[in-house]
Amino acid sequence: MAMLMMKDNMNQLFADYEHPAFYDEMFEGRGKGRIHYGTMLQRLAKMGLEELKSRDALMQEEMVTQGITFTLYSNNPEDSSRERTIPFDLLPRMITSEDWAHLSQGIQQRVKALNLFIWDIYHEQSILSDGLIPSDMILNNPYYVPEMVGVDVPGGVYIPLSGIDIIRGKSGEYYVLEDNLRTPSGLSYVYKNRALMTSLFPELFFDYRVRSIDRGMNALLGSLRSLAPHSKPDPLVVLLTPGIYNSAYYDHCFLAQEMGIGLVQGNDLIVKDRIVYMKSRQGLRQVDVIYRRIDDEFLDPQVFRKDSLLGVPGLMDAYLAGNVALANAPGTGIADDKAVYAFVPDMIRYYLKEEPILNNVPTYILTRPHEREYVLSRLSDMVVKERSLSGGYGMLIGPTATEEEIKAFAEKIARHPERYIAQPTIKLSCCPSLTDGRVAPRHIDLRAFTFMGSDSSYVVPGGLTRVALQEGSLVVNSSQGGGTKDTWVLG
Amino acid sequence: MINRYAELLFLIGRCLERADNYARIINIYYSMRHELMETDEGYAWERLASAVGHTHELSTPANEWAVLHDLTFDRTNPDSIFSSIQQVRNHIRTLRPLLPGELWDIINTFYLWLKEQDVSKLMLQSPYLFYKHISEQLALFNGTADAAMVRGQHWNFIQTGKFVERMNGTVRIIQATYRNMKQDEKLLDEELLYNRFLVLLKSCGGYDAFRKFHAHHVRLTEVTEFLLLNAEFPRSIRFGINSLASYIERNPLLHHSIKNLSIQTSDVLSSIRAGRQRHGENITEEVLLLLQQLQLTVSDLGLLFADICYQEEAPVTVEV
Repeated sequence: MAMLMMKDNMNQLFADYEHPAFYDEMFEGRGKGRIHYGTMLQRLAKMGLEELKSRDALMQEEMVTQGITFTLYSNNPEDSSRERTIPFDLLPRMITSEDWAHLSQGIQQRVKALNLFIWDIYHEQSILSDGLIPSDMILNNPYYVPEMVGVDVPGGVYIPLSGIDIIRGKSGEYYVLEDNLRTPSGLSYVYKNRALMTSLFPELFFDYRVRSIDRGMNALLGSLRSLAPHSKPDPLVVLLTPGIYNSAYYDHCFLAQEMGIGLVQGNDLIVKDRIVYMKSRQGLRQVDVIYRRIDDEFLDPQVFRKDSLLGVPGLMDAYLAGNVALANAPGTGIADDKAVYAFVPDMIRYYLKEEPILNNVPTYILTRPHEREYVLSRLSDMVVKERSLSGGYGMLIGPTATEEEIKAFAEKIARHPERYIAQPTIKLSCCPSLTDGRVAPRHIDLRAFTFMGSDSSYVVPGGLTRVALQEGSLVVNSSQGGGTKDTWVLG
Repeated sequence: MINRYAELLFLIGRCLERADNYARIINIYYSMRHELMETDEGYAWERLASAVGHTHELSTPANEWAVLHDLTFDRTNPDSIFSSIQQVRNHIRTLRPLLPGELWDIINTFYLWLKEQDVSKLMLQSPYLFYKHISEQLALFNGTADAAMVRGQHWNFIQTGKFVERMNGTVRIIQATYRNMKQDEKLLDEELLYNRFLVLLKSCGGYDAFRKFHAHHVRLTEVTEFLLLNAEFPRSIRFGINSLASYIERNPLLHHSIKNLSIQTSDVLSSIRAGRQRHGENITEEVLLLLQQLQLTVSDLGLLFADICYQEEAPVTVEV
């Protein structure tokens, strides 16, 4: 009788589930769950759709109560309607331990090579003189910061925190889609998603040994403190935020609180005699490490944008004098440029003398005439990205674009080919999501967070699975209506 | 003040703190589970009972359902959350004319709600939300008392009860955690050790505060120092001792007991530091023994206070 009921529940739960033509994380065929999802499928079936929906309502309520939000950009910063909870999908995504071993090794390899690349670009530029990457692409790049030339950053670590976006192709093979090396956001959601799941859906954890993510915060704080100039034993670390109207302000608050570090804005800091101080009630306190969540161009109005009110005048001077550490270092954007991305496998071979463990998505550099011509001839099959933008802005997704949109992008590319790159549309893998009161396949990716110290690195087990909640959509960014789900690495 | 009232106020403070302690620890343990150590036989739920300092015999088998029942609803267990709230309600009922009227309304509403609950209802609405609701109700009571009660003897006796129970809770959970860590020594790698300390800090509500004092040094010495000797963290033993000193009345026995407590607290840390110099960071039998002694001293202090409620003394500050 119980078995019969479970089968009924399973049928009801996945009644409308249209098995996608893409790689499905949970099912390997119609009604046939992948082995590692087996126990969870039984649990879900036992609960049934109504119970899942009621849990979902609890989760959403809890997110509102806890203020787990992001802010959409608006011209009116007082407009509180721009503050949204990031949609949370309560069906977790699982990664087997074998897959994770492969992924985390690949990610660590990649981050190590990218860090070496940044050092090289601001020192010897051997990769340019050896002709592996066109000099023009680097030296005329808006993310290239000439002030960083010859600067030795603490421990040689340019990117203490990185977010590497991973996707799966049609056969389940993993690809790196993007490297986020400036101020990657979303780490707080990894921790909040897990906390919500363990609090409100604890029974799902009964049957699995899910790898803990708790040590990650300690690893990040340890990395940041290790950057303190002169190896100061008890450094003052702060998180520099643009303020409450920034889209990722929740992220900033959460991280500062979890690490027990100060959350400051530009006007809380002052530079005197090339030393950065925090204005406190006890007087000026020297700041040793700044985990900045402000882009390079706003960091210091004396060096970058003169109109920046977010940064700290004189900060770069203090930094270049070696009196304060910045994480991530200025100028790291050079390595997460969407065109430079295409050369990361070459960097790995060049610097590490190893074959890349993770593949790139094939990328067309549109300044190359034959590649441009090829892309323009099949724009409707391509994803085109503007090199300088992120967050899903400035993108063309060929298969879902209108003719007008395609035409407009073709003109843009013809006018400024150097501003764009193109990639074939990868059929992102799908995972069942609870959306609009039913379970349906939705495309997902994974942002894996890595913390790099001077002698080791740590990849948070799992990371942030982002979900394109619109049916058929491939855009997972929260600013474009994407959601997230908890990501389990099985132990 | 009538002696009997003093004792009731003292007990109100203790029971409120105990219920709050239970709710917080159960919620943390239930969701994090690192401490419960998954085994082939399932979770070691009895560890949850020892973490909250539950001394009553547990129902058998000590599974999830039974332990949650015993700690939360068991009417025959005087330490369960239900019994604690019931005692607070009864004592406030006795003392109604002495206390702000709102306190009765809050505790009575809370009690009437709790009386209707059981494990199946708890499971239905999610253990997390259930225990969170308990913590919120207790915070409402404490906040109202803080805003409305005259600072005088009544207030002092409630606070005395609160801090005695709080110190008791802190020592008990340290003791239980370290005993389990010693027992699981061979199974614990760096990550698992970290997780155990994390659960301990969160169970004491001290995770955020710990970061501010010790950053990423989540290690035996720092965690113990923070929970025992930090003068600014409200659930540390040092904070409890200092608070008691400002609330209690002069009494040579109390003076001696508190001084003893202070010395024993330092002894635990000295032993850990000495051990670290000899053979690295380890929980030794000596540390466990010192914690046990500390536990006994805190328990004795509670009994002593209960006795002293029946003595009339002039209020002065005790030197510590």
